[in-house]
Amino acid sequence: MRFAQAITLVFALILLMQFFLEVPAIETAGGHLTSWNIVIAAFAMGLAAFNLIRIHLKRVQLKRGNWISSAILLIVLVVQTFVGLYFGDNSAQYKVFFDGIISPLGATMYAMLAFWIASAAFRAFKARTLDATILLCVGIIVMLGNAPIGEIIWSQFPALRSWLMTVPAMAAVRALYIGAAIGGIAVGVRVLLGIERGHLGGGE
Amino acid sequence: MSIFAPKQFFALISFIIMVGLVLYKVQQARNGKVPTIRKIAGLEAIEEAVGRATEMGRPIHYTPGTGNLVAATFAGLEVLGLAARTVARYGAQIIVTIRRPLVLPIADEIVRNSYMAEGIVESYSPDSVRYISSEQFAYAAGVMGIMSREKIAANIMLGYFLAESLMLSETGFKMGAIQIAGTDNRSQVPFFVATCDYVLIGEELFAAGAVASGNPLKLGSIAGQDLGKIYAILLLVIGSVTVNLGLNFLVDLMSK
Amino acid sequence: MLEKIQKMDQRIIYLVLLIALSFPMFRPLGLPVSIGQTSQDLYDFIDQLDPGSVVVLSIDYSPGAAAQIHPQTIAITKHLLSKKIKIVYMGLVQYASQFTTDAIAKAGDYNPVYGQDYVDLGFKPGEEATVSAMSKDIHATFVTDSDGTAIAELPMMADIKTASDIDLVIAFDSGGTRHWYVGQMQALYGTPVGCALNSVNVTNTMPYYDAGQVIGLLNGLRGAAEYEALIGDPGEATINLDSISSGHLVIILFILFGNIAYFGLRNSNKRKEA
Repeated sequence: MRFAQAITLVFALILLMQFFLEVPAIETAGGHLTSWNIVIAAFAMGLAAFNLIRIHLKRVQLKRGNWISSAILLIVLVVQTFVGLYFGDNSAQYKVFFDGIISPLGATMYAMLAFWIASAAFRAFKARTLDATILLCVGIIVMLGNAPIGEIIWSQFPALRSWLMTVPAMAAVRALYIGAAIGGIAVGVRVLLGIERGHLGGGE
Repeated sequence: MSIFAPKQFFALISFIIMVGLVLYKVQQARNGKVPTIRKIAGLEAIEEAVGRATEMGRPIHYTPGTGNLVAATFAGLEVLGLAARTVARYGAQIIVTIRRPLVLPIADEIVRNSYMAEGIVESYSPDSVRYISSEQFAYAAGVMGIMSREKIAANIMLGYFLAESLMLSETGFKMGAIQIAGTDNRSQVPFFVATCDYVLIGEELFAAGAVASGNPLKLGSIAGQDLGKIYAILLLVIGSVTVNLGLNFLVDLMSK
Repeated sequence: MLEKIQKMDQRIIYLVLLIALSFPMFRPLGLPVSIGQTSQDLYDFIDQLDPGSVVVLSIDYSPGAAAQIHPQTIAITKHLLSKKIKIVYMGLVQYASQFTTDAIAKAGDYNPVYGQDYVDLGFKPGEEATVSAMSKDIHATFVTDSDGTAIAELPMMADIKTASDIDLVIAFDSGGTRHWYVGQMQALYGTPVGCALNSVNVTNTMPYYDAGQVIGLLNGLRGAAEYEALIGDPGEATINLDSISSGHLVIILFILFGNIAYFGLRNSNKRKEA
């Protein structure tokens, strides 16, 4: 554990110094660490695939509920991997999967957000208190300002939306950014000092 | 040639000051001067959620977000350790879903160690931590399926989220689950507020694990974080006043 | 009645929204679009670049967000090719090459020559680390293009080696890649950064725009329609923008109905209690 913490500290300091300083040796070391990161991420992908295969293979073997979906997942995993590796991800074969499956499925999921937003807004956007009423009014102005129909209803909606986005909303966003960035620094210090060991599997 | 990267001198000084303030407060805590930090309602609710799930005999879903190993993910993993220990203590079931391969082995080890810490490592199931997909919406669809099929009683989502936030929280809402969510991605906060019972916004997420653990050193780092904010506020105030007076020394200093 | 509205089946909301979104696709309303300042700024920046300048287009969106962002890619590609600006396509999300191929195919009759007018470096994993590495040495970071050709063999790449050789980077981003370009390229090397985003990501990018760290940005489908208007070539986004209007209007109506029902019920309950 101590050795792992020491590695964390040294590597993190190299990457930090690389951001702030222009020292060739540190830049070279940082470059190598960056490459290692990419390689480790690729290996982690293999580990994740193993986890996925293990869980779904077990479900198929035991014929547990919805095992057919697990079987389909495994078949698609094998076929897509084969097509990607054998034909390459710029091939016509890969494009068939991309245009025929991945793209429409992704677009469908994202498009469904519109329906969920509508039902969540209908349920949650109630003028129960003064705060909620302000939120409701601002939400409606921004929506109308973003759509061309808002300009037809009242020509000043885009200008009002723009003011809301660039003054009150931006002030709040900046406060959140600054707070979150400093919070991120505190998490970083805890990790570097070994006070926080989540990345090493937890424990105090 | 300067050894400082262009435009980074002031950033480096500010970074050193902020880290120094955090270290100072950590050291104070080490010497016994532990700060009092307000309680975070969402964290208090974790035990209630686990208790309810145990009574109902239904599992708890946990996700440390869909980001890679960024600060928000670390914060989510920090709370995962505490949630998993509570789950182990109550004898409930936890399902942790993962989008990023790099997060998988860490989450797996955290859950296993939590069961070990409670002395019931034999109750740990390797199927508790599940990699779903790196593809954003495939992950969302997979998790929504798990939430519905397993009829989850509680849904805890702490980390970095994108558009999947509303998909997951709406599904949790439909399942009638207690929902605790937190993210530092401002654009997803409104969706969580509309659908969840408890929401941790921005820096609350980073403070969550430290507050929940009660570890004096971690609490010290939160107090240091507040001193950092005072430094940022001072810069904002001095900057606004001087620029309006036509003095640009701070602007010049910042661009060095 | 009010109680029925309050407890309305969600599927009714879904159905009405579906009709509202689909209707303008069959009967376009042709509503006018005014040009926002953020779109104008991005357009102006590109328009003043000299022929032969280098622009990196980082194609970082998923198929899900393509409905909003891909029309932006096509419109900006058309503008760059018309100005004889060299384009380096790349991506930090795995679908980059598929979208690049499609954007070039739909960009019109400019007949760009691969390797001279544009290159496609494809997807590179590593996220922020990749942006940091390519800022220092593009050739060492990518080595080959998306087809496996060594980038040293591509004539256009001979003079494009570091962030300093790039005149503009545009992050077509549905996640968070713009933060990496601002942090690793704009802050460290002063490389100008522009953004082409889905609407949900606009608010948290505005502080960068306001501080001059992002020179301009496009806001979702509306931004794409604005850019199409700026280059004088209305396309897919202009047609689909009417759906945004009708969709927003329906959501606002549902919110209003929900509030009428909520207050109506609350008042009648108060009367009963009295």
